[in-house]
Amino acid sequence: MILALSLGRPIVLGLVQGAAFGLVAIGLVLIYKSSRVFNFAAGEFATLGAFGYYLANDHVPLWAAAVVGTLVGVGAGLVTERLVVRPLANRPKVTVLVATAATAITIIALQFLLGATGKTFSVKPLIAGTLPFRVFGVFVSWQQLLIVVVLVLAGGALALFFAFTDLGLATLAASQEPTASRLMGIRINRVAMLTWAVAGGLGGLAGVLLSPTLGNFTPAYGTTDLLTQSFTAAVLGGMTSMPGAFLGGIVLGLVQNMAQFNISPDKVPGAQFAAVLVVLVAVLAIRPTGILGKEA
Amino acid sequence: MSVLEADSVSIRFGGVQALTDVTVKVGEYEIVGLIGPNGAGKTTIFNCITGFYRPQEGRIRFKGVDVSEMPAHERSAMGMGRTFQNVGLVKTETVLENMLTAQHASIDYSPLAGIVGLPQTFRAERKLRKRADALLEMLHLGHLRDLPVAGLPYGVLKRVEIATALATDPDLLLLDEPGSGLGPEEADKLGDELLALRDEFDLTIVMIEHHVPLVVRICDYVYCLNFGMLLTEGLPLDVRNHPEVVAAYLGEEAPEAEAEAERLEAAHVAAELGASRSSRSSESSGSGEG
Amino acid sequence: MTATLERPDTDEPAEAARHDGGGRFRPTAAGWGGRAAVGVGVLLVALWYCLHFSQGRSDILASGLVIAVGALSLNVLVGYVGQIARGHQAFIGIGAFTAAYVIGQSGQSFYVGLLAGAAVGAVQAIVLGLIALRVRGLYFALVTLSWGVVAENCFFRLKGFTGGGAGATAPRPGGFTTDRAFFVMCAIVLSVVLLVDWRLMSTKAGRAFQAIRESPAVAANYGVNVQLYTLYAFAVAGTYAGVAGALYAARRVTIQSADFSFASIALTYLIVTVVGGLRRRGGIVLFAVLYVLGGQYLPGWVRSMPIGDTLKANAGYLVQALSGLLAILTLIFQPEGLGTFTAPLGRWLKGGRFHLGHGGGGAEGINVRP
Repeated sequence: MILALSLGRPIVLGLVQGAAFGLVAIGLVLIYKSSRVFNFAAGEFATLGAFGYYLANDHVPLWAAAVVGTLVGVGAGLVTERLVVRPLANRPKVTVLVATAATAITIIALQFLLGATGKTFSVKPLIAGTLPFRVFGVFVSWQQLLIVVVLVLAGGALALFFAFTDLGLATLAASQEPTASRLMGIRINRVAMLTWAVAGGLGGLAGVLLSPTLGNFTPAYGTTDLLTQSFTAAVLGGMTSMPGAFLGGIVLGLVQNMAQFNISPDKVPGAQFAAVLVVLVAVLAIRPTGILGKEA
Repeated sequence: MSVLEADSVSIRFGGVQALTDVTVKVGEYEIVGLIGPNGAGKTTIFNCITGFYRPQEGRIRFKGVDVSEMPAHERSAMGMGRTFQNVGLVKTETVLENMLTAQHASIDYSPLAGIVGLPQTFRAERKLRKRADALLEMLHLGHLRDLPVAGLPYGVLKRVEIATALATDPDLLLLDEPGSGLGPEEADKLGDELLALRDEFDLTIVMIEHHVPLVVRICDYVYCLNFGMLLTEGLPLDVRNHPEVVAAYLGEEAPEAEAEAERLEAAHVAAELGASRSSRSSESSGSGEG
Repeated sequence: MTATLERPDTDEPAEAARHDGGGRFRPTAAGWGGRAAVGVGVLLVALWYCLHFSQGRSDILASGLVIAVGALSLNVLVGYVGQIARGHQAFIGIGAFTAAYVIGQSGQSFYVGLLAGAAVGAVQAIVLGLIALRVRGLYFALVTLSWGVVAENCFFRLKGFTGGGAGATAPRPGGFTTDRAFFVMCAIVLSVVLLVDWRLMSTKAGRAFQAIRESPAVAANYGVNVQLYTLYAFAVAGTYAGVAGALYAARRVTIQSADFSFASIALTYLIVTVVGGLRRRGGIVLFAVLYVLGGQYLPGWVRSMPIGDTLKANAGYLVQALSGLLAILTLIFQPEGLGTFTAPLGRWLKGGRFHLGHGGGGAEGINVRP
């Protein structure tokens, strides 16, 4: 097992999946920074994004379908904020956590209700074909490259947004000093809507971009394939650091795929999931505030 | 013999030196006051004494035993009772249930016996209830017995908390601002009450209090902290008139002015607490002033 | 004593107390009679409803009782000590597969399997509890989430333990093989769990849990060993879950790893606990039963309505969707859940006055340090 260590595929797939984890994790960090809420519905934002992409696939150009999928994520984020999170604004954060979990199960059940049970949904890649050369001895599809590029671009854009725009600065201010910010005239509700919209959009985008690399997706795949990993990525990055979440996602993707490709499922079934748990517990044991986190 | 000895206690949080070489000695049946401006480290020394903080240097001795390494619950069981600045009660429970919980250490059946419902547990529970009722009656809180704590106003909570602290059967009672939110007359009554409690239960009392007239009236001895250091100690009137104490409190103004300002602020806080109880801040009770 | 304590009691709660009669309320003999009659009546109606109908109905109700036991386990963690657990498929599944292993593969009796499930459930819960002592509230929720996923995808797929894809079998005990008889078994076990839970919360340990949930500092100040009692709560929750798992296995007879998924166990049980009402045993049991009955009858009703064919075909998932919504609404508008209605009845039956006041339960009491 050790001798035949497989490296190429896990590295490529790890980067690709890690990019998706990173996108979702940045959304989790945004929401946590602005409102100290753990959003357990994040995985389903991605599923909804994938469904949006899937449904629009045959009717509009693929790039437009991708936009539709992302906007579905944005909408899901906004609806969750307005209908679930805002009414619970003054309640314990754990109540909000449970409410986001209830949101997730509602979304999952709605998928089942609309007939998604037991089906797989195959989606076309945004860009077909593979790169003309191998990376680590592995063929890489354009779609796989795209998702990594999008993560880098999205991460960079968000960093610029929060560093230089008024709204971005207001969001950070609101997260650190909610009362003072309110007194300074920052509208907390608008800031919350913004963060949930962006987080939803990132989730939707992750769902849109990742599903074609998998070939197809199943209902609730965001919760089963993305949620735990993305949260662990965010924790690895300290829960408050966007670059940390970005890197955490990549690390998690690599760890998970290394475990998956190098540990025989006959000996240890589901080793990729166990690897995620090991990383999570190790990080929390060593530094409960994460590797890159600076707890406010 | 000293009931309590905090000997040269120093504690740092990260880079912040919260206490430096603070020594506090409390004799049996004494009432000792702990005064000082906000952030002086009064609640911090309470937390060191009761075991919520572990000072980097110094020892804590209680009834002649070095308790420096003892966890908080064991110190409580040994006879340290305490109230918190922001009220340390179980808010989802009723007053009576809090009184029962507070007697935890004195319950002699095992938790498993409680679950399987051995007859002795029912007997023990009846005894707990009787004692709780007696204490509540004694403090004139009997009418609140079955009310959930969450609905009670701040001033009442402060008194219920004293009752629960007494229910832990303490020899040493540490009170963190028992008079906050009280007017001058009420503070006066509180003083009478504390003196009576001391006699009734053979208590030794240490109290953090901003209400200087109250401190002067009932305390046998007073320590004044400032910036984590002992500013001065001595008899109440001497400490109050000590020029450095006067200076530490609000420039050149007399301590009473500060106390009055504190009182108004506390009353304001209490009003806010009453208004928006739903927005609870959960981690407040333990930490106190940073 | 001599303290002068005539504080003016004009505050609102004090008024309320006086309104309540000031002293303690005791029902008259007739009052007790009425209470007894109502209590026995409710029990008889429930019994009649459960036993009068078909075997199939009994099986559905039995599944509701199993959910109730599992949700009561979650209630210990979330409701009593305030630890958010998001991986209850691990708790239930480990109990179920242990029981199936002991009964099916080792050929022991059902009762040995039940005990083994409870014991192993408790042990795995204590392991998680040790992590909970080190990791703060919201982060611990992540650990449990991940723990559940690992159990689902690793432990439950170990061929030697769970039979892999083929599943494991746990035959029902002699005398309880029919659905109706097994329902009685579930009812007996649930009753024991309820009894234990009631005694737990009326004594030392339960009060210690409540204090820990409020704040570890308050608990320690009351003399409670916070670490010990946190682990104790996990052990109790694990025991209930193990019992629920063993019942689950025997009710289904054959179980597979796919039965213990995040959505079907962890989320469902959490929602039953929340909608039933945290710290509200009656509400939790009631909603667990309503949940399975809804699963049985709602689709039929809905299919008779003029809706699309897709919806008709998948109406079985209606209950899941509705209870998700119901959980959100509960959290926002009615934090005590169904307990809002069952708790006053319970108080009245126990000899109190009937009033719909807040009894200190509900989701508002979830109070984990962020």
